[in-house]
Amino acid sequence: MRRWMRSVTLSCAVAALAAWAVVPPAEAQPKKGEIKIGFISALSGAGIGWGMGMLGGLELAAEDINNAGGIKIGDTVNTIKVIAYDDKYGGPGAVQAAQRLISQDGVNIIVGPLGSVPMLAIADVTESNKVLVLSNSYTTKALSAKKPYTFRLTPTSAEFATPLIGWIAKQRPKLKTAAIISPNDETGKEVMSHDERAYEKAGIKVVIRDFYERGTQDFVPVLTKIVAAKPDIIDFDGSTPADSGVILKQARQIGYQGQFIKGGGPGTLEIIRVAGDFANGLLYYSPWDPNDAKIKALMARFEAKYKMPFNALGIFFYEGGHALFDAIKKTQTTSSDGLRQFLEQQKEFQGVQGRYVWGGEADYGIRHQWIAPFFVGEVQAGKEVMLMKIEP
Amino acid sequence: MLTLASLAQIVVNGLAAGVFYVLMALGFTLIFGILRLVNFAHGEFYMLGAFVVYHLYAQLGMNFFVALAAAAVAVAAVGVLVERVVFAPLRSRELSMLMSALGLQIAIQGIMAVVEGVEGLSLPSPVQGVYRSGWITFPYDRLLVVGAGLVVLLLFYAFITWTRLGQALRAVAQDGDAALMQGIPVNFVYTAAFAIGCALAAIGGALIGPVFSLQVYMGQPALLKAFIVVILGGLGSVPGALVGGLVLGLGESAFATLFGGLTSDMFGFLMIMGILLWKPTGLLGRAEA
Repeated sequence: MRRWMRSVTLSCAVAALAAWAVVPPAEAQPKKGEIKIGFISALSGAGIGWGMGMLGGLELAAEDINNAGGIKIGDTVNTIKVIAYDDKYGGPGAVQAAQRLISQDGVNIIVGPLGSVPMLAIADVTESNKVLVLSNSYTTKALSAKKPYTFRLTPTSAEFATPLIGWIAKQRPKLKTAAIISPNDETGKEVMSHDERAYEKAGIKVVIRDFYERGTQDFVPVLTKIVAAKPDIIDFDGSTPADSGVILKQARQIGYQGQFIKGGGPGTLEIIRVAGDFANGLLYYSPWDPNDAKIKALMARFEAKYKMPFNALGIFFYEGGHALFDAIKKTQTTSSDGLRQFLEQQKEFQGVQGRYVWGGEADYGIRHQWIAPFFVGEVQAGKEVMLMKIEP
Repeated sequence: MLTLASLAQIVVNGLAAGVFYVLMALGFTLIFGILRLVNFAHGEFYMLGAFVVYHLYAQLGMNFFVALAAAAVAVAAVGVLVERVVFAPLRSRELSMLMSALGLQIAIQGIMAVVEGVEGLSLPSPVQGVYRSGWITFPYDRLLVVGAGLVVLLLFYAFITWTRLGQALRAVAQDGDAALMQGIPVNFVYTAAFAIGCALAAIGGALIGPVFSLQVYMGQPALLKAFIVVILGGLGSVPGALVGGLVLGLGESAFATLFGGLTSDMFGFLMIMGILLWKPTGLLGRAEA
């Protein structure tokens, strides 16, 4: 009897083992998770065009990742969720948004904000909470060795003015003197100093410089003084596209025949819209080639989703979004320390537009500034024509 | 170095800017004079006028001056609606009216930002070209603004001096209660004054639009200039707006050309401080009893 029992038990065990071997167990379903990315920018008021460009860039990058199945970390497949707040282009709004993102939404990665003032305002909150920040902003004070969690995705005139003006000086050797007109704020003053350095390096003498208050609409009195100094170039880097269009138009109307150059602050189509035919011949910095098929496709996606034109600033946040998600995928972590270390050691990132590298040690004391490829554009017959691509 | 030619250019630039500022300030000071309302939304009516002309003239091909008249009528109609709905119930509660004007400013800006977008647009000028002599350079579009602005000023002066409604406006501005006792329909006069002020703002925006650029936020700097002008000239004083506008335009032109853009912006505010210390009611303002 005991023997019989033993053989039955053995047979059952063998049968169960065989069944397990023949019929594989149902595959364990991967867990589903969510990676929250905070976003702060101007989503209303005068900066809305730039702010929505930034948001759209990031959200389209997140959409690419989510459509491709998300990011797998361990046994969890994560989708990207962007939580966006409007800072109304101001410091108090940005601080409030950062506090809310950290304490209520529980994010440890923030993309944005747009302006220098909001950027400087949130630094205490984000650094003390070890929150990784991938920002816009123009000020040199945004980055420093004392801000180990703050990175900047958008290149400033400190990065592109020298190669841009150097290339123009080589191509147009007759240009020997320049005038710079800039808004009277921190951005305007920094841009002017970068441009002066770039012109000096290119062997072009800055013969006159002037500032104006933002909101100025009648530039004729200031331009009368500038045109009297007979500069070969008038550079209005630092001005908004609408102001640039008005400056350009009014300078031509009072008889200026020289070369206009516009550095940062993408928005050439707006300059063309405001200045009309007067914009022809303008040489400018362009963060993208709007005639490139991939960029056109991205513009179409943005316009279909947000019902407004895609601002060129958005390209940095599309590419930057992908760089961030790529870092998460490769490091298998969303911890700000892990991502920070990865980005600091990253040699390059290949985006839609080409090669991006991290730099900025000489200017900011920390390698947290993204150096992007850019284009030298010229307005010809009311259209944007790219003359040259300059790689970092 | 200051030459006779540069002096002539300074004067011409300054006179043109002065007429721009008078156009921005005229309706603002009229509304304050009658309703005792510092209309923070004035710049938005200026912007609405420019956009109406943009659509009628630049997009639909209507004659510029017909579009200008249509803009004045359309914005005046909006003004009637706003005055009856927003301000009439708050009459004589100045602080409440002030806050409503602020709210109106933000609301109009927000609606227009959604409808029109926030990027700058160009309103083509009905005249092209530049007048050049050995002395001065003067774009014809500015000449048009100066000419049209002077016509508007003359028409407004004639209206306020010789028409029954103009006389009623002046009577209410002097003493609303006394005007009521004389049988003047004061509520109608309030609404008419607000509508005329809005129409003047619209004409200003539509005339100046081709010289500058169009943007839904274009009313803010215009309002700031209007403020400076009416405080310089005296709040509520129409001749004061004329004098204030010209003084500010000429002063800014001289300072910008001689010393740069920053000193020109400082000039306006320093001048206000100086004049208010010397004459607290402004150049042509009257002290209230």
